Amino acid sequence: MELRFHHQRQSFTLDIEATLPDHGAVGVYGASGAGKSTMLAMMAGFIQPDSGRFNLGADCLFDSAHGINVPVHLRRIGMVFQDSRIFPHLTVQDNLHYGFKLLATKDRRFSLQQIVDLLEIGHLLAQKPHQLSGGEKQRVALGRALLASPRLLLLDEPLASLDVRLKRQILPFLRRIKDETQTPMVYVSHALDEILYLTSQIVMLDGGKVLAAGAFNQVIHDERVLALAQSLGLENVLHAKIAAHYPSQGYTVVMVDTQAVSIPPVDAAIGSEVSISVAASNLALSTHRAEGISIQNQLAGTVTSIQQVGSKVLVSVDVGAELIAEITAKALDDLKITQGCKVFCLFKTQGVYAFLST
Amino acid sequence: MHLSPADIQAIFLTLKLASVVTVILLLLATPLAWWLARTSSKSKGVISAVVALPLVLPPTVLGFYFLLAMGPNGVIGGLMQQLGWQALPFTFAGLVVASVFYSLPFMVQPLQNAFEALDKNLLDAAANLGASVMHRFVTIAVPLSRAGFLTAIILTFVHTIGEFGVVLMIGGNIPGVTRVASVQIYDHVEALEYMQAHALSAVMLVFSFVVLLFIYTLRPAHKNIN
Amino acid sequence: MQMIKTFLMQYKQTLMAILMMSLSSSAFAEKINIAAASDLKFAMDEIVTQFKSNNPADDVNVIYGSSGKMFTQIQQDAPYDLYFSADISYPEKLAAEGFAAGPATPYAFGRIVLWSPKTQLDAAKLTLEDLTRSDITRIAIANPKHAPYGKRAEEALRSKNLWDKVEAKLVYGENIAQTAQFVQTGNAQVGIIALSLALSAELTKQGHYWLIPDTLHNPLKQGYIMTKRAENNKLAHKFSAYMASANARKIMVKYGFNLPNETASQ
Repeated sequence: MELRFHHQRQSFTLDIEATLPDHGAVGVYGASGAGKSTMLAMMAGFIQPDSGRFNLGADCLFDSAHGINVPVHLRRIGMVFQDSRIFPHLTVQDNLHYGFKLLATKDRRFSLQQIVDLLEIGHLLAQKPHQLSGGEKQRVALGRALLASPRLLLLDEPLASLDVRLKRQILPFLRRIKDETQTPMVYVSHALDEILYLTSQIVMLDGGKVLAAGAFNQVIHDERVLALAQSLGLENVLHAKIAAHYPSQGYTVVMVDTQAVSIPPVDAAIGSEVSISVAASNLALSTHRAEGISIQNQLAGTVTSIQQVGSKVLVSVDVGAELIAEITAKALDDLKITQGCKVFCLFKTQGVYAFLST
Repeated sequence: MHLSPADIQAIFLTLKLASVVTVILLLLATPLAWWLARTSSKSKGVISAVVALPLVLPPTVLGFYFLLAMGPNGVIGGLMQQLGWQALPFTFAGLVVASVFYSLPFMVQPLQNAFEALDKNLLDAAANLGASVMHRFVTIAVPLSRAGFLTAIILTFVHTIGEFGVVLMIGGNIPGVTRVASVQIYDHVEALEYMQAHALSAVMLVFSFVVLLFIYTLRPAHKNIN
Repeated sequence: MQMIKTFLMQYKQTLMAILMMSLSSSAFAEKINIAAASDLKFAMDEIVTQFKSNNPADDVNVIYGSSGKMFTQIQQDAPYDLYFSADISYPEKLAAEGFAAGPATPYAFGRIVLWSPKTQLDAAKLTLEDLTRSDITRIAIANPKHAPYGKRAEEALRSKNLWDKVEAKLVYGENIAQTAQFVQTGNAQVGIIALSLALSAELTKQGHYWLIPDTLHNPLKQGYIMTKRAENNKLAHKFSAYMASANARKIMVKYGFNLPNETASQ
């Protein structure tokens, strides 16, 4: 899909040009006010840009030069909002059926049962929205959008109003949707860990413009991208497998490539996949394996790059996967770390968040 | 208490008038209220003022202008005569037209309030799911404005039942055609038939009270749904 | 709330008028309120104007309306000092019930006419029989149930055996003035109204009339009373006497009223 939006409102100018993959998920990342939600609203057709065009596959949905502007209800682009926008007067089942019933039978890609199973909302069908929790509402909103068989699913900060616990409950469902429904997704968030959990494809917006677009581990080396990611709280997201549980001692061990990592207890079978995230600012570096220290995780690796961002330094370390550590310039001098050095990455068990990849 | 056949005829005529006017106003006022609730057009002020006129104008003013406008020398009456249609004064249709205007604010204003209170985001969400403007209106706006519709319908109905001044001025007091209950009561009083006036008045009083009681006791429950 | 507001707006003028009338009448003796039937509209206006030019200090107020309504109002102690009814039976009843300061006095006999604006028909060339014509679709009369002129109109139509034939065309005015207005605006083509109204400057200009023979109906014997509250009001007595003066009688005759010989001041 190809989009070019130009829009001028008071002091804010939006000028976006991007070509996004037609399959899989793309994360749109940026600070609040960067224009992320406006971009989605333009794709869905809620806001008409002053000029530009938007093609989805072979279809042109908006082209100011040719006076094309397909109305919202004919675009077949699903959207999930931060405030679920479940219809308050309808039951969960009727909410789920809302878009589904408007579709010709041949256009229906999912059955109610499939979506209900996927999102595990079967027990909620008869309920009214006011009886649902925030997390349940978002799952219903997801299901409702999916049942309308969208050609593209837009997610506008769908987890922003949920607490950490609920976020961790919902994220795996998003991954399932991506993996099992083959629906292309654009996921807007200001939380990098959410995006990286879903996809490595990322578009970074800043001040109404596209700062960078592409695979995260490539664009992150751009200084401006790094600075932005830095200011929003840089997260490392690694894929891992559960290796052992030690419930009495309060931790679980997972393997990242060939290295063991201790994380807080997780309720999942040994061998199952898990994603873990560690904030770059929670990583410490050491030139030797540290002794007599409470920190459990010490991953050995090789420094692949060093970048100075303001007074801070970001050090990328290859530990079988890429980890970025945020240290001070003084620490870099003291340790005399250079590219190619062997280092250990240290972080506490409690500093790790785990997302099950159900 | 005894109601004469003429009284009963007047009651049925009143109910018929109120029903017809309510249905017509529902069809006319709903799009108007929707427009008023959504528009930022400059003409909104003018239209709102015209809609609210019957609230402040004495019914005699309305009746007087209707009589002039609908008569053979009037703008509307002259036009209708040229089209070969029956003149409106002293006809049931004439009462309906006058009552539609007279009760307009009672239908428009509760609806407009309800539509203004609607969460536009829900309509957007429905559009996003493939619902056309009309479908969004019927499946989202109408059910979420239920309390507003109920209030508008009941107020219009009872207000039309309570209409007197306009009817007196353009109705011509024809039994079964324009002699509604309020006029019938007036005639009873004028003819010093106090017993009959009492009987019919009591029916109107009880009916109106029950209807209003229904609105005021039922409305909070509807608010909860929304 | 809105409904209460609407109610107050509708009746504000009436409430204010009653309030002011009651305040002023108790404060000043030299003031009277006259309740007069609608058919007297033009004649009484002229008489009062004359009376005031002779007695500039006196305050005379006239309220026109239907005789029946004013009858009921006087029973409920309305602040009227003199009551000129279009039908003497109302003041007679009031006198019998003790609401009057004296017996009911006849002051005139009314006449009914067929009247139509020139733009519709030439009423001068019509007779009652013409009312059955198919080109006449709306006929206005005062409500026979309570308006004296309406009762006489019905009697006249019945005595010609026309009532059943024209009943479907009839529209009923609340009083004789409204009946005239229905015809004046062209909403009814012809009406049976009071001669006194047909002779007014306004209606003379607009249309013609045909006098309905008074042999076809009971006499429209009109009478007045002085109410109990006016018993000691000098102005009420003065005005009542003026009604019997040559001046006042001349005006009444000008508006088509026949005068009873016995009309004299008490």
